[in-house]
Amino acid sequence: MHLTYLANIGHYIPEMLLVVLMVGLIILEATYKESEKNRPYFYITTYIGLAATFIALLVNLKALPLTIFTNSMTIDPFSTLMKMIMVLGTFGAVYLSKINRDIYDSLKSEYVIISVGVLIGGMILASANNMLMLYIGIETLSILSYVLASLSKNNDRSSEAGLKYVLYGGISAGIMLFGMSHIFGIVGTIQFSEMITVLPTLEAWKIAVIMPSFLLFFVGIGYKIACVPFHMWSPDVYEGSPLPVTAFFSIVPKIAGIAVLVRVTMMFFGHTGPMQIGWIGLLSIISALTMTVGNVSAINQKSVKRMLAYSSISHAGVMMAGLVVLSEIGVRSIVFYGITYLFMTVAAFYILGIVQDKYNNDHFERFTGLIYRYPMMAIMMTIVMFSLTGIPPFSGFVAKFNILYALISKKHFALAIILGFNSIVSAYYYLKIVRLMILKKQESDETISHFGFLNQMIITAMTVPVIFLGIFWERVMMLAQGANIFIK
Amino acid sequence: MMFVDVLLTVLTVAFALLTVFSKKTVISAFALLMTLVCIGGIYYQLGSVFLSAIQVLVNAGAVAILFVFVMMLIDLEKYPNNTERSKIKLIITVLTSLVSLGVLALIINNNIDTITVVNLSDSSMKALFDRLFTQYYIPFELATVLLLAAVVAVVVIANNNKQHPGKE
Repeated sequence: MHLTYLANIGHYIPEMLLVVLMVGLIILEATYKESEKNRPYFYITTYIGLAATFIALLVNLKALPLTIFTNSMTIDPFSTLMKMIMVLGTFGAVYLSKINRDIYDSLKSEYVIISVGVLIGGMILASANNMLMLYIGIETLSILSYVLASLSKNNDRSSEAGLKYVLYGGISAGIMLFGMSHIFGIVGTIQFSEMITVLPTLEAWKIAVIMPSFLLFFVGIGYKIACVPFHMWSPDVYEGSPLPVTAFFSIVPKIAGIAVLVRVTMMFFGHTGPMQIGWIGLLSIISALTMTVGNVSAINQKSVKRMLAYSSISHAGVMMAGLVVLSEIGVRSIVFYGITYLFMTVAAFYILGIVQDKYNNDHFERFTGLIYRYPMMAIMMTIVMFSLTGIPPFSGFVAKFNILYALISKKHFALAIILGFNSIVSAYYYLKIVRLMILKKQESDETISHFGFLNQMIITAMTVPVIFLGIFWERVMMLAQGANIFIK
Repeated sequence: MMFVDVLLTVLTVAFALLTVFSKKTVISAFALLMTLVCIGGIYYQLGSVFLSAIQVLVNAGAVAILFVFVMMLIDLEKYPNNTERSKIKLIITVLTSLVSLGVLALIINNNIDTITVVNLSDSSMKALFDRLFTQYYIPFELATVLLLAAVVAVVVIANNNKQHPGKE
């Protein structure tokens, strides 16, 4: 018993590396004097640790799907790919926090430590294979996120964001636990692998109880993804949080939530019956609402950060639409969407962060005439915005096209039409920035100090995948091909 | 023994009702505390001494006291009791309670024999920790990771001595 428990620990190296990294960073942080603002070794350690985790995940990608630690964790290509997206997102957010002034100098190292903690939570969530791990993952992700949101302590909006996040998070976690306990009461186990065998054989009255229970269970996950009935916290939290935190929030917790939603859906609702119909109906309606509400609310925003917050809500809706088809094509297109979403979001937040640092606000007007001063950056921002809209040949188009293809192949025409309309609506606010940057005369020719050579190179390097994934997307889809194996 | 069981059950329900219906917040908090203590008593009656001790220590001792602390921090006089009772609220409350009651009754009635639980006897502590350090070791360890990161987080939020120049 004890030995078999540890037999597969070799597949758990990425998470262990991250735990060691977090503890190491806490110790390393304590060795610096408070007056030392520039902490090179701290950041070098972080980068090395995250890179090592990424490499360990790459090694894991080849492994066959298996469950470890008495069935409590699944290691499969799908979860590994989702984890890779999260690690890259954290990497981007850490460098952004280093160059951004939105986070106090004295709290920069704490930001890195806590975000590594959130990343661990996200990785637990992505491979959770029983209810207990799922709950611990969600709590690790949430409790540490609350602190990240209120990291600008002297700023009222940031404190408000933290408090709102705590209140919503506490309530939704409570509702989710309530649902979980009902599911346990019906099924009699918390192991996903045992639940799969029990669920198709349930009697009618049990199904009548378990369907509302799954609805309650969905609240907790939906809250992390910020899909529509549970999205109210998201714009306020995203706007109130410091900018690197917003960039982090729009990637890691969201991808983790999508990953766990995909796993739950594919595992429990694979067999036909009233449960599947109910769940798919729920997902379709929520996905359509999420896309529409996110896009329509984004139109009227003055702050680019808030606009990106609403747009990230609608992107989550698109990813959920890929789930409705309940097939490996859908899962693959969600993974691909996640990868492209990562690069687009990080690049957009880098440029926004540097512009916002200069002017101390993030209104659309700050981008006016950027092309006359920093042509390279304006072009990169244009590419990212085109890609977010879904204009070919950029990767955002391919990602949306894959999901559309999956929807149409399973005859979900209504959802496909809503998705198409939403792309058109989103063009309005994404292209507004492009118009301001390129077609308007600049107001002044101030230089923005952080657009140095190095940062311009980094932003360009992050935009390159946005273009190349749009052209050589077949390769990545091949990579994601294994992502379906976990279902059985 | 039967008498004690029934008494504890009745007290639990009575205090729970008092928690919800009391107009004074302090009395609500006290009733909540008593509810939790009574549930601890039920655990004791069922033979799980450890669980009952934990219930009293953590839930009644720490959680309910936290409620009282928060009440002391907030000036309750400023916020008059919201006692308005609309009909819709009442209907929704009754419906939700009835549905929950029905669901619980169904589950308990049909599943009481099939759910396997750790044998609640004198060795319940041993059985509990056998599970905790074998089958559920990873969740246990991950909870410590969460707590470690939460310590850093708490220091970040609570430490107010530093100057935060932030943005100029």
